[in-house]
Amino acid sequence: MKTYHLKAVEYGGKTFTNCSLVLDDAAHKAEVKRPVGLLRRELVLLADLSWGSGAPLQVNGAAVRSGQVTFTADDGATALEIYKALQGQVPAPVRVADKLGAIREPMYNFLRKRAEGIEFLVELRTNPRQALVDVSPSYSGVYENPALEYLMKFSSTLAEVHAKMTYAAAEVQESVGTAAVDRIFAFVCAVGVFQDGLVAETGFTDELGVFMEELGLEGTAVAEPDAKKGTEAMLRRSDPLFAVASPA
Amino acid sequence: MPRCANGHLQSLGFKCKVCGQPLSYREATSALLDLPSVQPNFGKTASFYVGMPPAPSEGGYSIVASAGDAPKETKGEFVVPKVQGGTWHDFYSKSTDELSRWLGIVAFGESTYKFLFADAADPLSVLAVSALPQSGQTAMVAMTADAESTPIEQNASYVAVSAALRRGFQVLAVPRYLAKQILVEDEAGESSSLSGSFARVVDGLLGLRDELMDLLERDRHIGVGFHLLLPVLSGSLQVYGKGANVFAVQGYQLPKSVELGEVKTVHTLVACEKDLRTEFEEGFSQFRNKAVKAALSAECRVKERPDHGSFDLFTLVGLDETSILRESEDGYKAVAKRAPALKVESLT
Repeated sequence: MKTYHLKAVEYGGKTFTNCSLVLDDAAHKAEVKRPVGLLRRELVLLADLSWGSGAPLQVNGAAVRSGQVTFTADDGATALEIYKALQGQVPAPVRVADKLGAIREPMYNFLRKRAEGIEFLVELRTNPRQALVDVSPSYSGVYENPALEYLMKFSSTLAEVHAKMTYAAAEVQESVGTAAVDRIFAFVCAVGVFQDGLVAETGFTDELGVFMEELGLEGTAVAEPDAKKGTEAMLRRSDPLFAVASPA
Repeated sequence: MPRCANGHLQSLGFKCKVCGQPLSYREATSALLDLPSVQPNFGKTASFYVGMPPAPSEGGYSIVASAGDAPKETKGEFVVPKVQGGTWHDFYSKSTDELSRWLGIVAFGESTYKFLFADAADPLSVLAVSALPQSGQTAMVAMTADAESTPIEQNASYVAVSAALRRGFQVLAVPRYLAKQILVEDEAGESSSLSGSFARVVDGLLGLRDELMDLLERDRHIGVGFHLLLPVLSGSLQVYGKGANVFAVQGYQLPKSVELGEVKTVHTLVACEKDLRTEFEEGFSQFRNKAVKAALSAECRVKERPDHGSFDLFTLVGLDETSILRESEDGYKAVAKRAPALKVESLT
């Protein structure tokens, strides 16, 4: 949802000043609202505008005409942006990007949480006794050793953040298309492969670099041996995934 | 990892290498819930030290137990609360479970060879023996009390050795008087304390751990779980004249309570330069045929090392368990009579 300030609105033979145009892309609604009340803080509906391509629209400088309504935006650029939005030209990619953005945090959370487990496994391989001592404060003795107990608890936490990520993806998949979501999940798998490589000491492989480039992301090797830092370096490359131009 | 519409599992990519169908990653992230498996390597040697610092060249894992004002548990240290005037029984009864739990946490028993290097007269020695995980290839190398030790020291030493034997650990004993002799020999050199000289023994033994554990395991199969350890550190043939003399001297180092006829096995481990190999092998053979011919098993193993100008030699004399306990039996009984809690039978 986006709101634009309008200097003036002409509708039904009257002129209203300091109105708002509210674009609700989820509901495909475009409403012109005017302020009312003593302090003019309350907004009431003045007119519904048509939405999408084919609508009778004209733009002239800061003025936009849509059917019976003519309004004046703050400037010409804003008027053009509104014009394009009402035509359905620009808002589509913006909407996709916004919706994909809803997956970003859950995805980051999942991969960051997984990096914690990977970090533990790397220590378990390189300095096993220190790894055991590190997780011993929370050891209840229920499991055979502190590592096993840590991993059992960790697995449950990881499943929770994974569920949040897949839920977030499912929520937006219908509106953004499966290809965009699949691309994000492909990236998640790529980071997973990178993380597993830290445990197996295979590092950032050429194959992984090629795959990253095929995803449209930077494919140079991440040489960071620390699981958390390495994961962050990979996450910093994910921005293009959320700047999709059009739904698949 | 992704699958295509036909269910082919693939590595990272966009098309199935089998059927050419596009790959889907929607379900693939579930595989990331499984973390890769790791097989930790706990190393060949885990050493537990009581009453002495870790050996200078200790290459494996080591942990030291001591008594202090505040309890502490770290990877390399386990500090039990001090007990004013505490005997071995006080530490044993209060801290065995906790130490046992901690040794479990640090996976002490997961190394191939497990050693307890202890001054057996230290009040913490019984605690350490009792808390060690019960697993194979475990040996206690102990500086044991001798006739000159106080009865309370003899009591702790007697109980610690008895407990180790009861638990099925191999025991190698260096009587205190022998450790003192090493001290005298090294007076001009590095070691200046009893624990320091014992640490040198430990150091030399760890360098021969594979051979040592192999011989101990072999003796176990013929029912010999107790060995007297006679060390010669930084020895020189300029002093001994020839290899055979080293063994002759060692024959005199046996405790008075031990008769040569009681010897069940005898083995020698030598770390020396290549040229001395034959000297020691022949000397050992003479000693064996002359002094301990009745021994069930006898072997000399030489580990060659770059020319140090000296040699380290360890003779393991396999005996019946009671042999060494005789040395400290009087003191043990004298204390146990007055304090029944300090009997071996107090151990659960």
